[in-house]
Amino acid sequence: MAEVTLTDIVKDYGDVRAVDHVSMTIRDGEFVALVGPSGCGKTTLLNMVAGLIELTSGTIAIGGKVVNELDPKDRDIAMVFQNYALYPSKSVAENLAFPLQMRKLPKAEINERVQRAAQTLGIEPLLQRRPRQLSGGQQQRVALGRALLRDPKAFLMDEPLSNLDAKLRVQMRAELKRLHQEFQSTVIYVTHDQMEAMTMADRIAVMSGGVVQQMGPPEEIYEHPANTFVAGFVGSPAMNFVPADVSVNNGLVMARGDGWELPLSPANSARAKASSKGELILGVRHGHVRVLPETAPTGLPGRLYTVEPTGDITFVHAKLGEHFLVASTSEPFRGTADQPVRLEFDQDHLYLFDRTTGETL
Amino acid sequence: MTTLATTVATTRPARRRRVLPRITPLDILSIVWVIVLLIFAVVPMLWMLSTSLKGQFAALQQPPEWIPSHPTLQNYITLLSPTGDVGPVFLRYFLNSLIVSLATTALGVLVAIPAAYAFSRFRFPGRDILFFAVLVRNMFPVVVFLIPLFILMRTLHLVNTYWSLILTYMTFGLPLSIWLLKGFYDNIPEELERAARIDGASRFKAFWLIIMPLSSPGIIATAIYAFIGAWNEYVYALTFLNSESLLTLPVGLQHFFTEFATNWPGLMAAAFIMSVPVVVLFLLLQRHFVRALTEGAIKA
Repeated sequence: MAEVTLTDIVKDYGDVRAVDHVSMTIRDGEFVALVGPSGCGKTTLLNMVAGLIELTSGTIAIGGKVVNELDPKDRDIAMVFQNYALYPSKSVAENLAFPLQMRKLPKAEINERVQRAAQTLGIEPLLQRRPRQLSGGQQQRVALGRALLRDPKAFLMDEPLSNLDAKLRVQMRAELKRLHQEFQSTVIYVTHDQMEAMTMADRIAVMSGGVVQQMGPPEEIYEHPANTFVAGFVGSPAMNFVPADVSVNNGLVMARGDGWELPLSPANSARAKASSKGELILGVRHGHVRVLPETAPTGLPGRLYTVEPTGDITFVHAKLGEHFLVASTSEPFRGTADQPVRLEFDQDHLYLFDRTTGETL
Repeated sequence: MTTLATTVATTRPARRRRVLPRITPLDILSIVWVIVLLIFAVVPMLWMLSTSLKGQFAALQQPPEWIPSHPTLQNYITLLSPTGDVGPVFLRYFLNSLIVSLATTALGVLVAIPAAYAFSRFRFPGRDILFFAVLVRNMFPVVVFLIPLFILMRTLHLVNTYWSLILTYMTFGLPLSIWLLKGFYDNIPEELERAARIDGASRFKAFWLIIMPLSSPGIIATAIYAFIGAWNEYVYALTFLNSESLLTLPVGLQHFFTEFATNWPGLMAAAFIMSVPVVVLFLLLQRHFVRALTEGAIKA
């Protein structure tokens, strides 16, 4: 296992900049998730680490050694692909053995390692089958096995779970995390699914437009998003955003929206004043919005849109002016469409963003 | 629950009945059409075979005998015996055809594979124009190139050699071969090569060990196409070759039988022998073709 260091990586495709000055260090044994919407540059970045795509500029070092000029085969990495990329003309055993054969290991050792990997992943009975005779989950396991039995410096994973059905995905997620804990391997994991990133990674790099928007442990990304993009991308349902203007009334700092006014707490007041033009975006997660009856003394006037019970938790969709908000409650909730309600934000968990820059205040 | 159960029970047999093949007028029409096509294709061949088993007299009999009453293999023996007047010449033609066709096929495949792979995988300047240029050759009738190619071959001092034909046939076969193989490579996910390269294979090894086996149906189809094209070609062989010992079968047969009057049974026997390699090759490789398709199913 080894540390992977990316320094000032740039990748241009003609006029399009796919990756824009990205630098990061993936520590030895660390599980880092690159997450972002499609086209954000995360897969390009991964392919550059693998050596499948050339850099426009910057350096990549694996285990302290610059690998820019090295072929993929000489970088000592393993990769798991979204479509598994199992060799269709080879049996499962041959698929597993291939990377070892390429490294010219003795036959006996290859057999032993293949058996061991098959045992770890519970695919022993499948060894003689062809990839197309396997289910998606089994193929996924074989692909993982092929990467695992090499003992490489780092694992690169490109959306390895996204072709699985929802149930299997959750199961494999746990299994992968467990494997990582056992093997203490360096993993770079690309996904568009923030939930996968949150649940599995030691640290997350949220990417958008070829730029790393924020990098940190999952809790930090969730609790302290750097900007509206990160705040809106991480968490499900997504964070509620409402634009508001700052106004000062008798020394009291208010956030004023379309037909409502919210007196801000002292801490929030100080942050609101830091906005460049007095233009804010308020952000609040669904767990920190309370939906109160119309007669309640506090809260902003809104209207009910729809109610979604999911069993343990109920999502209440409401409109504040023209803006949709989602609140969640663990208690049963009854209401009819367009019924007037009051929406109360928990000011200790209110995020303020500068509307011009999108940065957190 | 009960209503659900009863509806299931009543709909099942109905559905099963629908699954049984029902013969529609369209089916009958298509069967008849296939039979007509089959007669069109097969009867001349059967007629050829039947005639080749007759003597000269029986062949010209009116009304014709569909099934020879005194079948004889004499024509085949004459053609294939290495001694005598006819045998050695015929076998020479056969060998010439074999050399030219096999060389054309082997070289054609050898050129088509890397060319198709490059067109499929690499983005290089002029790629689209080049690919189009490859296909342009197929937009003109073959005869158009006869004189230019002849002049070219003469300048290269290749007239009256195997090479004049091999090079010419290659240029005829290559456009389709490249085009067909490119389609095959396009369908093979690039991740397979990427995986192989990360697993420790060089670019060439990844191609050789992973992509080649998957594209074998395409390569076989390409090879069959190139071989048949070269085996049957007449006009260029007639123009480029004049030495008797180099003639290929199609031209050779022509020479052969204008010289020895019109020996129909002999001609038919020769034609039959000429079609054997193509048929055998096709039947033999078709099995591989199907196996390759089912076993190495390309699945993304």
